[in-house]
Amino acid sequence: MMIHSISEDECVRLLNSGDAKAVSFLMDHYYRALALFAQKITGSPETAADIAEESMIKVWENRGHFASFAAIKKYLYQCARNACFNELKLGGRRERRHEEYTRRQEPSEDFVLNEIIRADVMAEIYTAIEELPEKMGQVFKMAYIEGLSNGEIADQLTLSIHTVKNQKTRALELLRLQLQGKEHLLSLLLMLIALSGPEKNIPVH
Amino acid sequence: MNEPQLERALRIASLIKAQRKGVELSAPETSELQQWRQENESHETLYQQLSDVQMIAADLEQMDSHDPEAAKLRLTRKITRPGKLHFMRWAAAAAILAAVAVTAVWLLQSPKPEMRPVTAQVIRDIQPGARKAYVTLGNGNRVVLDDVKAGEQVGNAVKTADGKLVYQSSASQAVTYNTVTVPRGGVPQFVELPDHSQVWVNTESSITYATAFTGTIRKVEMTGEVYFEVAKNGKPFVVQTRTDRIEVMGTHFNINSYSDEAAVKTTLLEGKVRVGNAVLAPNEQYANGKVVRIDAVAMQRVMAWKNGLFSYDKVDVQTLMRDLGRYYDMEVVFEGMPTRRTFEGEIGRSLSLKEVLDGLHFTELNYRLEKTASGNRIVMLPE
Repeated sequence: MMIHSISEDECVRLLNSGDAKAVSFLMDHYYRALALFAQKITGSPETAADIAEESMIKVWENRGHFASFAAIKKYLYQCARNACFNELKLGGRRERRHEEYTRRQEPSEDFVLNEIIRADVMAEIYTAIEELPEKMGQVFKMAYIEGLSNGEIADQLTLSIHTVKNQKTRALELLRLQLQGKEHLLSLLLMLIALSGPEKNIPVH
Repeated sequence: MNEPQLERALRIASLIKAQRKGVELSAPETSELQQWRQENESHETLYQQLSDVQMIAADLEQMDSHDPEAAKLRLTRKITRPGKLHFMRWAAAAAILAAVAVTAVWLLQSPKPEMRPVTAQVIRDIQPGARKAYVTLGNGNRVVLDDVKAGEQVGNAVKTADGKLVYQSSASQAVTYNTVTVPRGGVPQFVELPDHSQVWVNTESSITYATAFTGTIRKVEMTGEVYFEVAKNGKPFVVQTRTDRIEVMGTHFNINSYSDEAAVKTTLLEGKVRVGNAVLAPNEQYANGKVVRIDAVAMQRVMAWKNGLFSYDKVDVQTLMRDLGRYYDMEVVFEGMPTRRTFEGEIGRSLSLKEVLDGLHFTELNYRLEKTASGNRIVMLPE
């Protein structure tokens, strides 16, 4: 969880003056996204984690040379992309360290650029989910990432099912995501019910 | 993947992000996004995926499996304190990057002994921020910001934990004027004005403002170099420099009015300002009655100080030394002819003078540091 939040401008200033808080900020906001990007290109989660970490180290090593936050981001993606391509070309020194490795073809530049766009947008979506109110964030993750049913979520969090549905709808709204399917319509009705805290556990099936 | 392609991709990403947050895109932004979506089926697919929760769920799951906290712990071990510093492109016309760092002072090589003051002592190094920013309150009292504890009040303002001075709007207080001054040798100071405008005051600069903007306009006087991010509140915001009056509504701009520079330069990043009889659009700069468009690279140079850097593109040694003299609070004297070579590169401002000059020394600038009765002095020696 991020405790002290700094702005992108402050991150640049802190980075350039050698304050490691800047790296913490970058890690919080971009580590997962860089790992996502690298995993899409190389196919290996362990390699992806290494690449994300090494890109951050390279940014730190070049501190003092970034004139803007945009410059830092560019550099991160460039480092990650180059590291991915090196992996694919050399067949990976990492292959020896990590067991799971699928040999892949070098992707097209368009593919890479698409994945950069995806990673950058996902970075923000992920942060937005982290910033959801606690219960809502839990419901969202359980519903859409873990794939639990409304009943299972209601049981685990001791909420009523209609609270669960409400929270799902509101989370999607806050994140401005859409959901395909009728669930959405049903939830609209439930939006009229205000949430006022933990509800009594009404047994439902 | 070349740089323009990467920049375009990041631009598209920020347009998609803005749309997701419900921000309205401008006409050119909308058409840029449209064009990208239409030029390739994979682009449209990606666009649809990024707004559908079921489609992104797998990505979220993947992201969840990576933990930045564990990685941060590993990183802190790998990150060492600055020992080796990289100086990017400190290149002059015929520079050779020497591998030898020479100590900053040698006494016996001055070619013109009569120019050396009799009382000069040799000094080793100067750290930045030796002199401290201070506030002059309405009653004339001066408060040095460094002496104020975090959370303490300074007049109508509070000093925050990270050294910023933030004013609270308070209608009941009598209006007085405060001045924030960063002396020569001080590091930039951040101030949040009573209307929530954000201001960065550079070295050897000051701003004077009312502690409550009660009139029909918000007026600020300044000297030196200040960067503004003006909050929109319906009242015009007016900045008075030694020669110009700049009027804005809500906007981000930098004004350089150092008296030892040739002209007062107003550079606009965002928004709109009126200065003289010109109205500036973003990425335009006004000086001496003329408006020029500046590119992204030049803009970075203007804003470098706020981002903690010195940033130069073909600067002459006099300009370079004038900036260093101001920041490290030292007098600059040239012995013999100053070199005609130009310098370019970026260097962090948290470095000590010696570290900066060691970088310079690679480009064969010779100098001597001395202490005089009135302070520090750097003597630039001829090549």
